[in-house]
Amino acid sequence: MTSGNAPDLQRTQGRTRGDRGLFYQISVRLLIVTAAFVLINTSIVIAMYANDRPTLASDMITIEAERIADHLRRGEGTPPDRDDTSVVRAKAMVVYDRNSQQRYLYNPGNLPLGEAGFSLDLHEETSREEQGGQFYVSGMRRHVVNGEPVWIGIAVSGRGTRPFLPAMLRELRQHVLLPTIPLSLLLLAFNIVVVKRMLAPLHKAAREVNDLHPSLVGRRLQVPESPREVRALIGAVNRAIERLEHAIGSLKNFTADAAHELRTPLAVMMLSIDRLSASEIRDKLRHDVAGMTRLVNQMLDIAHADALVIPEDARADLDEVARELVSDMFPLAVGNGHSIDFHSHGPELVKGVPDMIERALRNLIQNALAYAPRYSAIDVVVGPGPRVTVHDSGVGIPESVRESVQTRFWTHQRDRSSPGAGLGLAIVRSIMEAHGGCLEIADAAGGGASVSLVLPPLKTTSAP
Amino acid sequence: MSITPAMRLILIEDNERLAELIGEGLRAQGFALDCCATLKQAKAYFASGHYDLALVDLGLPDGDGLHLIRLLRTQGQSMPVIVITSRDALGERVLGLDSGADDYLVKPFQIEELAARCRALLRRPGHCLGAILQAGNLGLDVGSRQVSVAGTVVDVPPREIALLEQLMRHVGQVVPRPAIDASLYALSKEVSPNAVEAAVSRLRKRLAAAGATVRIHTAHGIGYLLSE
Repeated sequence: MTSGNAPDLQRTQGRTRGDRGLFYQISVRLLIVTAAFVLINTSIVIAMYANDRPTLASDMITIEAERIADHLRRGEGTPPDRDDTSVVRAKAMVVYDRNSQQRYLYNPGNLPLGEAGFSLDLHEETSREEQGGQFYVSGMRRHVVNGEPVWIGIAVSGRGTRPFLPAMLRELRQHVLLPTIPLSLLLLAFNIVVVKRMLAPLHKAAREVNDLHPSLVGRRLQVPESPREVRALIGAVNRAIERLEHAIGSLKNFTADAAHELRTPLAVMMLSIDRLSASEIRDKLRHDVAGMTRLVNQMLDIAHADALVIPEDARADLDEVARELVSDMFPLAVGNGHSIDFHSHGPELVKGVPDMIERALRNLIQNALAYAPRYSAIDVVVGPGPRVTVHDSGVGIPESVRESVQTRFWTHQRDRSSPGAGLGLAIVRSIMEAHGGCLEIADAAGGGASVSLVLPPLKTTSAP
Repeated sequence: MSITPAMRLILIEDNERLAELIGEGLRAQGFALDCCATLKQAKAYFASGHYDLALVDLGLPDGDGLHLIRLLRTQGQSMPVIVITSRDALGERVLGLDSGADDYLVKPFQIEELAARCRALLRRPGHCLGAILQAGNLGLDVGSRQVSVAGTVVDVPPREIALLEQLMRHVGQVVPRPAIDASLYALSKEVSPNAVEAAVSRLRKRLAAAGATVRIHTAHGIGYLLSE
């Protein structure tokens, strides 16, 4: 994973159409199940009542009696008109009061209204007759209207099942809809809470995975206490990261180990060449071995730069690092007909790894020595501020290639003969970026290149 | 360069070919050399003989060369030790020097460089080359404070001899300016700010006039270097 892929990763994490969340999916399924439950329940109720005419008939009388009682409570003490728009219409009705007096009677067809069985302790009574599809139902119900008990007798006749519909609807409302709607709402609310809670550790893990980077491969996702399934997933992801860490580690170690292993055969080659008598071939071989040595050193530099993590308390004095390095490289420079002049504005403490800053500066000085004309001096300047600059009096670095020289394996036309030159500035750049600094390329005042390591200033105030 | 026949070095290096080449190269430079490939052999060699200098490779088949160096130091052996290694991280260098090594040489290297470092360590006061320093055709007898070029005695004032001694003890290495200042202050309390520059300038002329093959280079801002 390179940093260039990070935005893609974030994009795929966002929601897209057709890719609904777990919460949405569970809610939809829950609604479907609720609808199916209502449907099945309705069917059962309908089937039960269709086969239970006596109960339906009783319910029908009850409903009609309630309607009349409501009317009496609301109204002027008279029952509703026959024109009342009801599906079931009483063919006859009678209302008694507590004195067994008929307060109201409507019975044009002189149908039996159960008067025979009327008594003050009657509470509920229904009788039913059926003949060739035609039914006749009569019954009496006790109600309380304005504090007074009344007995309402009703007779209904009709055909088929249609007159029973209000009774059925009432049953459905009372036994199916009323319990189902609150239950469904409760389930949905419960679903929101539970799913959110269950998904929270997954969201957290996703954020942690998103923050992972090869340099942070030592990190592990935090394993939640529950649920077990999420724990299992995060445990598996952690084990996968562990294997990745191992793979990245062996890759990094391989580069470093290979470079180290190459140094012994290089030493053997170099000492073997020393035994040859002085000749042009010997000098060329020496040059080749020196080039290979530089390449091996740069492989090591890359391995170190890629693995570089700056500890919070790491400190480097640029003056000290540069002074020791120049001291170390001076004899070789003199041997090759160059010189190095060192100028310093004094100690300059930065947050950094001295070894890595030394590697970066070594590459800059080697480049300067490679491009500087023979018998010329290069300048190494520490400061002012947290920077080290290397000036040479070579041909300089044209502005058009200043960006590309910092990429790996870039080599300018002019130095095909100098192996390793294509890595130097890329390594310097990696090391500087790891330090939060940068590499600056400019023209030197008297011609030639001026290349600087620029580090962020040390925040002394942040110390507790 | 003449080396006294008593100079004995020991090389502990497990790569046979490298040991053979280092051995041949150093013998050609006038050193006597014993080679061994393991820590166990090395301990046996140290038990049976005296060495003036040890060259130790760190990655040995039966252990880390640093253990051997620590062991030598705890036994009170003060001979100079040069670590020869393929590892060059600063931390490892520091660890090597902290363990009691005197110098640290990263592979690959030229035989002249190794020989020069051996001589530099042996030139330290108290070691066997400490009495008479040699660089090219230039000689300095530390005891009698006498300078000679190609066998002819050259008249050099004490202040310049002090400077020359510093440079000749570190041939091929930059001697930091503070170290030179300190050696001149030891001779006289009145040292003007440009006394060192003046002394170096006079010494250069004197040596050139006498036909010396060495050169004194100025590492601006750091110090001075004597090259053969």
